[in-house]
Amino acid sequence: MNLDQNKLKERLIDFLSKNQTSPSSVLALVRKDGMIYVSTLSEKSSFYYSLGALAGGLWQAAVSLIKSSSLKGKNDLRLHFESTSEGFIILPLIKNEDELYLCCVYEDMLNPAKLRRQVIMLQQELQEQFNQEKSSPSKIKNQQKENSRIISKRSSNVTNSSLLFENITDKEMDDLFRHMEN
Amino acid sequence: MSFVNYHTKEINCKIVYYGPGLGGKTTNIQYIYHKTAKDQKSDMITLNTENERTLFFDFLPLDLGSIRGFKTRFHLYTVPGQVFYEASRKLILRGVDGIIFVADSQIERMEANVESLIGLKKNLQEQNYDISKIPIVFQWNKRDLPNVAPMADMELKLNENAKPSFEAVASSGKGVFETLKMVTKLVLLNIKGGLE
Repeated sequence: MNLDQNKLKERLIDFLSKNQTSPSSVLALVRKDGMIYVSTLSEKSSFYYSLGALAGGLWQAAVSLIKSSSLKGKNDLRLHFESTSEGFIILPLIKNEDELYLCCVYEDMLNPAKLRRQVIMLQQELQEQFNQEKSSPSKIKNQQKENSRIISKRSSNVTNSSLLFENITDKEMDDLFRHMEN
Repeated sequence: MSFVNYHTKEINCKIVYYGPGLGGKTTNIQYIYHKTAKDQKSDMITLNTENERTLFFDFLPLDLGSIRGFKTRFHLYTVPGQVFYEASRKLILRGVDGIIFVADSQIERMEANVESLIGLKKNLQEQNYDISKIPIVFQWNKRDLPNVAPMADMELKLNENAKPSFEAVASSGKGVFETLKMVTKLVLLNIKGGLE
């Protein structure tokens, strides 16, 4: 997790704490392919990866579902599913032209509508932050510096090729799978 | 699209099991799930119909360990095989890094195999992927059944680009890990060394 992701994680944890959600409530940013970008859950949690796959799949299925309806073209979509005390809400965000989904799963809430409203405000706050990062000259300069550092580190360590691995031996593959097929 | 984080030295990739209905895609990842150590897997998600057919997808996240200092994580998905779930298949293919095409070896299922492969090509094209370039491995499943098509026929009708292929009996595990290992290798070799 890089610095940017660490700051985001802190913000999400702070949000859950301020809104007095139950310990089992979760807030996460999910990439379009279903992979977790940032989550308040520990990676060791059995729900960590499932949350990403389900939230990503749900959002994209919902968007496909409405493509032929009159909602087409609206950009303030949200997806929520709830009972009187538990449920989830998913909202889209754009970071560096990539789509992310802000997903909050909550339980044991006395006022879920209030929490949903807070999540929508968090979405707006994060989107503004992402927009500023994108347009900030100092941020761009820092990013370029960091990119150059990584490129030079990689080119000295790896090869001049555009591929991460030039070749992989059978032994390396066997090592990757050594804990399986028991 | 694979996600390489150079700060934490992590690689995340998405592999999709594709193929006709009742071909054994879910059986493949169920076998992998049961044969994987607890600390290397999370819960498997299955979104099924009442009669145990895949409705949306099956999902299994796997931590495979490290290669040259990079921690690797593979997300395995299956698509629903039944013809009328085309929209779901398109969604699941988004961001795919590697494909295992699970074909049903029974002679009477050849037409379904061909139809599914045509659908795969079309769905990949719509997302600007080229089936001849994306890492793909073919699995000829159900080789234990009596009415199977000869291997040469399977290769001729389905594997026009001569991609790697394996005989399998997914229900007993035969060929399951061999197929996964091959696609994993192809995916890793295909990762661009660009920035995260």
